[in-house]
Amino acid sequence: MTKKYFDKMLSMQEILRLCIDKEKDLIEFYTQAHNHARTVEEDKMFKALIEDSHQHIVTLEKQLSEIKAQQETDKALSYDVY
Amino acid sequence: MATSTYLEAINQALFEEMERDESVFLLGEDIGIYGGAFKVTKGLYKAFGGDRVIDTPISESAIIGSAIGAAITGLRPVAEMQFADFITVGFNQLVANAATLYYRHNIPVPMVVRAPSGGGIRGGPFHSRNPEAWFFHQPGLKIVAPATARDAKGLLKSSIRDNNPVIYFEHKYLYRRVKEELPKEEIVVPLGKANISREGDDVTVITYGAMVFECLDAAKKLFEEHDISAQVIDLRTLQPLDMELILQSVQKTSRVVIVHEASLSGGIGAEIAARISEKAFEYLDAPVKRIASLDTPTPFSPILENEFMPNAEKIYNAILEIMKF
Repeated sequence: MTKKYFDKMLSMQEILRLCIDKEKDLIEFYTQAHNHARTVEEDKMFKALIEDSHQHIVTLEKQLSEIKAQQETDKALSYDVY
Repeated sequence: MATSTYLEAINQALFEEMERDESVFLLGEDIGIYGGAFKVTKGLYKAFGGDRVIDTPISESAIIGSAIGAAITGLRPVAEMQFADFITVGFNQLVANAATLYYRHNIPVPMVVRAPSGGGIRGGPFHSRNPEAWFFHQPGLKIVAPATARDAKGLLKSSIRDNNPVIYFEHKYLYRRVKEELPKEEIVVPLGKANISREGDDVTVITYGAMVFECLDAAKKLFEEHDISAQVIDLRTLQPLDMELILQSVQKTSRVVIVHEASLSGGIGAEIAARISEKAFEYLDAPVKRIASLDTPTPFSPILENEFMPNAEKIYNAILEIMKF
């Protein structure tokens, strides 16, 4: 499955967006799983996994934002004809 | 409250001041329909028209000279340098004319030159410089260098309202990387007043521009790992310097590290260190330490540029060294 995505020569922005979507799917899945937790341990584990995925999204969005900021700078630098 | 980037905060300040005062107008290369190389003036041509958002030829000397002419007839021009590096082409207009007209003829020159400065953006030697020290040496100019979106907005508004020529160094690296909640109410930040970005008792860290964030990162780590409490001062205005706040902090901490992104030799840090030595020598427990970029042109290679510039790690190590005295 991973090979399928990377064979498409995705840009880093596309990869990051894909990662964010996958983390969102995971949050949904873990939330459903959490609703089925039978023990305190399972409850804690799925809560922690949901929190981890939220944190992953923050990290991924930060890097996506960094790429966008640099892209705008690159546009200005390449526009410049001096 | 709405989230604004540093760049949007500058745009908002321009919009609000143009709306508030009809004498405010903009001039620069491709700032009109195109919105400027970095898009700082995006939307202003549409809002205010070509008479107040003027595209100029590629001549910094002509841009600054025209701004001076307009300012002495009572207008409030805001001139954009596409990159601060190119301000040298208009150097004579700024230091020989704008800076001295009030002294020579009692004529105020209420103008702002916006200068997108700074490195870390892989721009190489012609698009990354921090030339504030050249102008710091010239009496008659005010110099501003905001770090936060709030200050970018509030200081630009004050700069436009000031009756002196102001060079406003806006850091390109921060344009879209700094995002803050800004209030709907008007923000006006007075010139000449520094800000304490982090309270501390053990060491004073004096900085401005993009280096504020590196200093804050270093200060946080020092507190977590060594229980060292660093007071971080964001100068915000470089000319005039807020020496009152600097000296108060030095008297409290007795240790000073000065950090700027501009090259070390002849930088603003040297002047601050000299003034501290003159006014607060008896309070010092250690020599004043300066952290700055190397005395070379800005490298184009990312690896070399990272080595060339100050960063949180270098600041962290410098503070540890100072604390050993």
